[in-house]
Amino acid sequence: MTPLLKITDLHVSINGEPILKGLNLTVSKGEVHAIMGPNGSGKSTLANVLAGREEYTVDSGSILYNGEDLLELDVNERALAGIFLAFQYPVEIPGVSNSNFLKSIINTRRVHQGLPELNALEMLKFIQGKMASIEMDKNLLKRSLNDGFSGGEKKRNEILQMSLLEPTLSILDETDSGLDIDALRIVADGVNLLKSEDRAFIVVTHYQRLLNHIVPDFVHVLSNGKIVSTGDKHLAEKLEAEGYDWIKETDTMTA
Amino acid sequence: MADQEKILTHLSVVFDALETSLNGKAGSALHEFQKTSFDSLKQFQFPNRKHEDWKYTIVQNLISPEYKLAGLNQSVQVPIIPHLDTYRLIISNGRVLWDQIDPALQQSGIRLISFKEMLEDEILEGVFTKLVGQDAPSSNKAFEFLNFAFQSGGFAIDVPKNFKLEKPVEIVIVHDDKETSFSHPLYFVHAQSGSSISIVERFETNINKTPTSQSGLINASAYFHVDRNADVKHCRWQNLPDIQSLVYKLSASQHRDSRFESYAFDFGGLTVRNNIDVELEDSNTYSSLQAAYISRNKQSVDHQTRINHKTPHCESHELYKGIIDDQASGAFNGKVYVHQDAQKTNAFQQNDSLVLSANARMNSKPQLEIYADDVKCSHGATIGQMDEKSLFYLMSRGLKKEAAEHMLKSAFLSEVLDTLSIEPLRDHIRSKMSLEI
Repeated sequence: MTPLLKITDLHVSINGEPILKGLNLTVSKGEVHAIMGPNGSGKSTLANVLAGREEYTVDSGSILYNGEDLLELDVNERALAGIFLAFQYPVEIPGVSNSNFLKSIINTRRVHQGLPELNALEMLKFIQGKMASIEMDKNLLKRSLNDGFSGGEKKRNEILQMSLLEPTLSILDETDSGLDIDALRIVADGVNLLKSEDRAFIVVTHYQRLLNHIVPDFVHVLSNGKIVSTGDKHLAEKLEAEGYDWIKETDTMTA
Repeated sequence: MADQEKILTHLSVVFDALETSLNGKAGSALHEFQKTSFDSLKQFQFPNRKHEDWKYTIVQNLISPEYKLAGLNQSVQVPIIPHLDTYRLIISNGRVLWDQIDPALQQSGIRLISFKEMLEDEILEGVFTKLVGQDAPSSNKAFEFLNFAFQSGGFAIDVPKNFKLEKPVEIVIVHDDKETSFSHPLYFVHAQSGSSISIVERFETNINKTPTSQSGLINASAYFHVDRNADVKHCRWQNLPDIQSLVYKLSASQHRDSRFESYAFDFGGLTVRNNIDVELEDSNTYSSLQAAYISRNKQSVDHQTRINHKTPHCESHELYKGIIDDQASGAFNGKVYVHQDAQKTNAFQQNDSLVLSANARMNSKPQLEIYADDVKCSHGATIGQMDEKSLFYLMSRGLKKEAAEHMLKSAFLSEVLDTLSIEPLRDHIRSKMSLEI
């Protein structure tokens, strides 16, 4: 079977500075992959390159999504193809109402799937239902998109969008950073509710604690632009206990 | 200079024609007013690019066409704004259509009279003359005198003491003469102490008539006397075609404890020039000037504002936001004067523009002149492009680039529009704005 995502020998740079230096990763449907690693190892770069951020230059290598060249697709086409990035720092956009934004993205997706647009009432029911499932305050609909939201509210809004768009491949870029225990649980619940045989997740995180709630099938350690170690959930526990120093040592030795 | 002479010679011919048409009404207070004003126009002359305040609006574009005075047209039909409940009044080619005024307005409790009658009313005439004479940049005066000289159908509203007009007065301004022509809408609002009134003003095309292909100039003037504790709200919106230009003069004089709020939405017009002068005559006043503008193709839009803080404890706010695209240009020149006596002044001024093409230009000059030492004042200007991070965020949710850009542009201007309290008008302007960005 064709894997959902196949990254081969990916080299990426920003402003001429190489960040990813030969990364390989294969993700199949139904799987949860955790990407861990020290600061500056390229975790967020990987997440952003998958979503199509233009500041990054792909120097070589390939990314196949459902067997097709992902790098050929525009940012919005990737989203419509089922890729979702939960941002580490969701952008605040004053003047764009959160509810209008959610309605537009839902209907854009539905039209793409050949489904009729939802009317105002159906839309409200759909959105409020999902909001309730992640214990999100309904008043946040009336506000401008992420504008003045607390850190937790922003992350919850990311998870809300993920639940509404039901992506095939979700990438969570340090969604756990800055969250308290309750918010962390809610983010995890959002992911767990969506988990199915048809979907996959890439969870980028610094800490093991999110992985207590979202149990990964694979844990990869990213260091200096490459995956240097892959294991199961126990690898995350080892990292939590011993830090990244041993990885760096291994890295230096292999280099 | 030769240009000035040529233009004034042409205007003299048009003015003579106007006088000939007076048919025995010559010698009236209005005629005297017109004559004096025309003399003043000749004396002041039109500004040129050497005037600092006229660097970014090409005066030639406004005055060089050989205009005739737009002809009287009674048969005007204008589009209505759904759910907007107002007293409607139409100004067609510079003249109020008296027989089409909502009769309820005449019975509402305010006094609505012609400009000619106003000049014959000693009290109103006195207040009006004072307003016209108030300190204002002299380079803008020519257009004001041009308006007065060719005055053919202005009006005045007198709002009695403590009277609150419940519904807004809706002024619909139409310029539909087929030939190269100008019109000079004029009105004066006299809001007596404790009164309140809201004015909604829009520039429309006559749906009975095919649009003209000749250039036209609407040279409008509006005057507001806001007496003690009175509350005046003013909102104007225009989406004029690319062949028509607009010069808009707004003067307000505010007295103790009064409030004056004005909105301008400029989405169209070839050359648009706004001259706003607000004089704060006594303490504890509140003034707000806001505008959203969109300038595209070869359009230009220019906002000149001036708020004169002469007395203590006054508060003024200015927020001007706009989008400049294609080869269009925009200008903001805001002046806030805080005189030595105006302690405890709060004055805030901000101009933000999105410039979306390499050939588009925006010139912003926010200015504060402060002579008092215990004040809170700020001013600022930003000129920028579309925010790439926001664009990426929206597109990463599946929105096409165009849809995402549209959302961001609309959001940018919404900061002004969202504070407009008349909901049906806000919705209408929003839908028009949506088509322009």
